[in-house]
Amino acid sequence: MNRVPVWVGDASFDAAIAQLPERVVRSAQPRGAICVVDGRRERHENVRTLLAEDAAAVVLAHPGRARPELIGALDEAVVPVVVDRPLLRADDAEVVSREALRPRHILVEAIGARPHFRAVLLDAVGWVRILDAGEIDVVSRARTDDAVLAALRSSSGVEATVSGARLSTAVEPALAVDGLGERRLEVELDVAAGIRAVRVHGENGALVHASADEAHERLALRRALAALDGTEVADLDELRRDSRIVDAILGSALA
Amino acid sequence: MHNVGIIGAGPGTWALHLPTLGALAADYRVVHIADAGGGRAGRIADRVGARASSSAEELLADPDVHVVAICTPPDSHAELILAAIDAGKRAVFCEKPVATTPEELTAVLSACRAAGVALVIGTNHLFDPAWDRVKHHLDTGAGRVLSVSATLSLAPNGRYHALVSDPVPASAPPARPPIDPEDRELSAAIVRQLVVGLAIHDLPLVRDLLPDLEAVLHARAVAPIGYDIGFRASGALVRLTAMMHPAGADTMWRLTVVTTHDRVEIDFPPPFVHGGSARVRVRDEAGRVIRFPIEREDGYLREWRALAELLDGIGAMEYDELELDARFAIALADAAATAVREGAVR
Repeated sequence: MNRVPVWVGDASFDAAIAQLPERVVRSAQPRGAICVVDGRRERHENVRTLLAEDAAAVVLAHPGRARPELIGALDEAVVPVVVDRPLLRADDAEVVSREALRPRHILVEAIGARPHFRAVLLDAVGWVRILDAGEIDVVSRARTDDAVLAALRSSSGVEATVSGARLSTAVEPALAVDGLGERRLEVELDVAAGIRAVRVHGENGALVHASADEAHERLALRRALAALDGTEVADLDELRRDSRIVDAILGSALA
Repeated sequence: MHNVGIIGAGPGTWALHLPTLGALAADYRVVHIADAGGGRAGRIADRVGARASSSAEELLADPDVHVVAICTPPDSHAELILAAIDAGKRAVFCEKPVATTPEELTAVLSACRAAGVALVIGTNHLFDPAWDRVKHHLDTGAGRVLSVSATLSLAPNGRYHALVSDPVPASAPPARPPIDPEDRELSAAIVRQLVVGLAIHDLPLVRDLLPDLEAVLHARAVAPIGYDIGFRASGALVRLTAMMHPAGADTMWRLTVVTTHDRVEIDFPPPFVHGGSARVRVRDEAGRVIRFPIEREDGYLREWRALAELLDGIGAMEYDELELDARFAIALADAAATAVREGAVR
């Protein structure tokens, strides 16, 4: 059995490792391993050390809390970087992409408590990117102490509106995506309520896609394994694009 | 029993108000229907044993008509309300909007107040019993409103006409010109028309929560026909987005209110149909999802019941509220149109 080592600084990926028993094994050393980096607490110096110690791939968890220096360190990596985004899962994105929808207007609403707010906005913007392949610009933004509203326009001509509200409670974040058009997409993601739904509404009713109940950590590890086998991942590039837009929306006051 | 005369013979009459009034037969009887000479009034009036005529003047001169229902294009509403008051009618039910300019509004409400005429505007979402429950929930909760959004994805209305009446053949209405983003004047005119004619269903609800319209933040036309508007009101952010598509998915009409503590989603039924009150789902401060029970009656029934209560002396006529709702909508429509004309987004 040729298992790929996984190095992680805490127990957050233990279940995922246990659920890939023939493909990965926990390792005490980063050398040659898929290294899980926690965006909330990992320092960029440590990431550079991991990379210098020949990490085979990186999984970035909690990217919404990662400092720019950390992303900068990962930019220097010559190994694949997979970004774990529970509200913007690659499998959900693939389901949506397969539908080949061409929404005329995209709406995304995000809610989250202060610690999650930037992360949920990143994923909100990520959904716009998934639904429209063009370059996205912020054409209008407004904010209050606890809410943002941004009008976006893509180079493809599609427009989008993203709103976010920062809740005063500690509850987990939620996202709602609507792709308006003759075939209407509705994505509902709510961590606290355990809702993860992709629906496509057409003339004859709604198609509710089955959501695979695979933990997002396991999905991230599987994608890292695939990347090691040669599948290209553009996660970091996409994260950077999404970050640029979120920075433009937020300015500095709400970040 | 209140005798109703309806001006207008389009789907708003035969697919909406006649079936609705039929369900309220203990309170209302339709006695007269007038069109502008198109000939449909006779066929529709036959359905309910009413008289038909080919002008509003004939209907207003009919002494049997106590309540005038105005179901004509928006630009004619103010003039017809004033004519109904001049004719000595006791009450007017007017499809939205009550007026399209501040001057018209002032004239209409001054005349209504002076004559003591009861006036109900068909902004049916305001009358939906679900809204009362949501308002109570918001008023009694700890949360402060952070944002409101109204999302409309509208299928052609004809789909719903056949579910509530036997369709009346008619020549197709003149096709609206499609949105041309390059033509700012046309886009501005369409957005203004859609705000006073469509978004107005939700604006009284928005104003209930956020009474002070501060500024339009962005406004743009959405193809093929629609709008996307952001504005600030009473310190919160509001988004209104609508798209009317020629085919495809059923109508979605959703109002969402996010407070510091929870998120309230109100799904209104498609237009014309009678499926009970709007569906309400609250995601509370602990992440629990709570659904409100629906009520049998919808906003269409309740708006006519509200008029009956006014006529019977049970309800109080709130001219000030009605006026503030209308001024809010007209001001927003004007500001949004200006934003579109000046470059849509800023």
